Amino acid sequence: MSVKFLFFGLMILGFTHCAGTSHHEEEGFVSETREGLHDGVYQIDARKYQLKNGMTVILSRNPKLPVFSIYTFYKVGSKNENEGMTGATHFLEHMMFKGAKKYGKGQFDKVIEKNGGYSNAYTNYDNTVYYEKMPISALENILDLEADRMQNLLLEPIDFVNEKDVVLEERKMRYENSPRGQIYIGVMNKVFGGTPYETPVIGKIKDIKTVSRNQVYQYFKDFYAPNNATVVIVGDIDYDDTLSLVREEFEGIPPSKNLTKNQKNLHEEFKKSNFKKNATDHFFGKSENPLFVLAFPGVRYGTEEGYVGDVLAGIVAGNRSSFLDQKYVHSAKPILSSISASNYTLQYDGTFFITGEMIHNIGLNTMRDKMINDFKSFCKNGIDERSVQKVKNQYLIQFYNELQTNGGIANYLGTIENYLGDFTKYVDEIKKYQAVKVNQVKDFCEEYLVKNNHYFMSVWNKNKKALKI
Amino acid sequence: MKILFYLLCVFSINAFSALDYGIVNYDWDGLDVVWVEDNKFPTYDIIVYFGEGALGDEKKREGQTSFMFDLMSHGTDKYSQAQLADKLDFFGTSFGSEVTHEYSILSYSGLSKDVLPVTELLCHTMRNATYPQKELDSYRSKVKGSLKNLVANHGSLANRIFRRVTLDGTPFSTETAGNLSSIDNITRESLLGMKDYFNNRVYKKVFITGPSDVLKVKDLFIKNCRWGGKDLYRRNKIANVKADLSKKTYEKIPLYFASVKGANQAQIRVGNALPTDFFKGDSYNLSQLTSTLLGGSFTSLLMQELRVKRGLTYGAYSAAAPQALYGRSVLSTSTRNDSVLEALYTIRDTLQSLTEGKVDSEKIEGTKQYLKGNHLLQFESNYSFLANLVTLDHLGIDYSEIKKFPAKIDSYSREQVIQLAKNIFNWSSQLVFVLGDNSVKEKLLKSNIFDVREINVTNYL
Repeated sequence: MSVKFLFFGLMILGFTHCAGTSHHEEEGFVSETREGLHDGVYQIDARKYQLKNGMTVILSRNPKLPVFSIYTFYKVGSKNENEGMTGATHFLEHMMFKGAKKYGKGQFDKVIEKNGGYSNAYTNYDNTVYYEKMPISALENILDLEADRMQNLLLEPIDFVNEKDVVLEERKMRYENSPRGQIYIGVMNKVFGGTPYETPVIGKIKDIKTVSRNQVYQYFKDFYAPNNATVVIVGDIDYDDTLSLVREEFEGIPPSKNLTKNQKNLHEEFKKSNFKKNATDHFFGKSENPLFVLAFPGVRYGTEEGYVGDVLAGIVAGNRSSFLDQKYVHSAKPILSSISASNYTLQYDGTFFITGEMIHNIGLNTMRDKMINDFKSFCKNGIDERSVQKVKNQYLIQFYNELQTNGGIANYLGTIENYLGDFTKYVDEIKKYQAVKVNQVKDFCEEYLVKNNHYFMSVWNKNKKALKI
Repeated sequence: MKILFYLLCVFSINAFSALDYGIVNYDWDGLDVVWVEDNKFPTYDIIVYFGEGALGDEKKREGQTSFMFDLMSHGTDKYSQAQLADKLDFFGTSFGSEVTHEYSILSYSGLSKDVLPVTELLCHTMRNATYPQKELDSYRSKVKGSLKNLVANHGSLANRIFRRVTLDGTPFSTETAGNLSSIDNITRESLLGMKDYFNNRVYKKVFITGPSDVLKVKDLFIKNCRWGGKDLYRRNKIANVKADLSKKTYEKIPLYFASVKGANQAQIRVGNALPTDFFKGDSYNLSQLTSTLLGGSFTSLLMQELRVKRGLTYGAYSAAAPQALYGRSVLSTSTRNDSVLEALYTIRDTLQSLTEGKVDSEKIEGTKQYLKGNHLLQFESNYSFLANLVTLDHLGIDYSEIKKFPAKIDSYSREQVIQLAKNIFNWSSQLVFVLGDNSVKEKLLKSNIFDVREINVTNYL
């Protein structure tokens, strides 16, 4: 850190502290971070409020452009689905664009686009997130639109039937016809076997076809409520005006009384994991080159170990100078065309996995054994100060890149809020990354990549066994 | 930056140039430089534009320029591949290149405190790359592996084949990354020659965004890269590529079919090559409006007809994309094997309805609003802003067009949109490509509106 930069940061700190603290007394104010470099961490100007109905609101002013992004997080993901309803969360996400009481059938996208904006959504194991990126002039209109679909979704029967075909086509495109998609679903099914994460977010084909309107409507009623939502607005906003608008649109929506029951604690379900023994599967897939995943049980999001695992992933693979990249991709006789490592942390569980594509076929089981064997010496001798610092530097740049757009900031703050319960914990998170020590990384490596069980899966057009996803 | 964008937002065209506040031009000893000041974060983005692309590849060595850039950090007279990788990764540098037919870019970004050592390294690799034989062999083997595996990625494979189908017989038909046979002919010597050509004879322009500190790189660009100079070659200003992109109309639409065994979803592409005249003057922005109306957003005609009304696809889009020397229109979607004909007929009906003017004015006005708003959103990230400047520069369009865009979009009449649609998306002058399971072919042969021609996927790798 240059002295000049630190000084600049301190100046901002002084200025923002003088700027007044009156919003602390505002009704519903919970917490904030203020723009500038504080404690060695660049912080965002952002405030969190809680409405009377339990809805969390995070506002962040970024006056760079006269635009804003709004991200609405619902704490519902595929982990909440019951048997026979797999894919319902994702399917409901599609239906949320099909019309509500005030903005009827076909109106949602028209309103968004006529206002010069863009809208989309994503669903994962833990959350469903809707977002709009718009010129600031549309703020009031978009809040009205979001509030309308939060409480009054139509689920129009013809659209309901048509959209099933759309989702089935999406499933083919992303997973069935993509070897990488196939192996992802296959590995997650094995690694999280016996737990709510074992089924694909997009759902089983049979369930997508058979889920009824009533079931999806009940699911909507169970989880789409203000006390299960976090709305994050980032852009060229005025804090007071925006908060008033949000209150006007959302505070009248009644909270769900059954939410605690519906949002049941799933910790018990995750104890049923059947990932116990080392295992290998070779499945048929359309890939000319063998694709493989070597997965290990991991840790859930937000734990101290999780940050260490993230650093380890960057040292193991994914950067050109990473261990496995140098050994298998950039060697004189490369065996792999690509390799990556991921410390995949979810709300209740996680996995550390390595994905590779072979170009020189030395045999899949040989590849697996070589790599597992590699880790024994790597975990002891392959991790040093420079390799750890390298990944820390990359994380810092990634963080700044995330903050380049309103959408990036909103998604980042909303994710931290949803997983850790308070968006301001992003500051601790950055500090934790910067504080990771070589020994911690070595210990994690030893514990999870050497001592632990593993699961290995390949997908290749020469394999015989069919993978049903 | 902020002032510039507020002016953009209100769409005003003032007598003074709002752009003067955000964009500064420099001449660093003959090297053109553009700086966009941004003090928000201690980071920088730099793009180096080279006025030559894959059209400069030697015959039968297509992919040479891509290889030259991709391998430049794989060994120099001072550092090995592993050492260079370690240094770049240590600075957290995001480093990449992109080669189009007409130009190339080298881009890198990171923390502004590290801009000097990283730029020094960039100049060093660009000047002193040695292209070690083992690195070349290793890289070639990986590229070939990826090309062979394209058969497993139906969307990318369809894009690749359709490019060849629409631009066949022109220098633009080959992928910039080359093909299985051309990359076998790339040698160390040819890469060293190409590197010298790019260093010494090709025009360059540097685009920088970040705090003023980042401008310290000036000396490095002048003394280490040594990229300034006069009379340097720029592909977009020398029209030595005579491509026959004249439009034809067909009584029976040529439909190229490629079979991929076991595919449970068919890829569909519709489009054709376009003469660059389509993109001159007003047509450049007008073509964006027209293709967005057809398939550039969720409420576009194709998305409504194919996805919303019929549930035939997950996505559909259209684009009319210009380069300086050629253009191309593409409609792209995928659908179930048993609904290929229904999807194709829907595309045909949608195109005909647009070109016959059966589209309501409200829809066109809605698309205008969408385009204007999204125009602003694309300038959120610094890299995206710089990339826009690079494109405008290459096409010879003044940066002030950024500011004029909203007013221009507003000025287009319904008639102009429909006329341009007739020129670009007239059904009888389209080529169609379908990639899917063999069972799809039988269905296509039953239709009497297509002249079905089967092609072999492996000839396109």
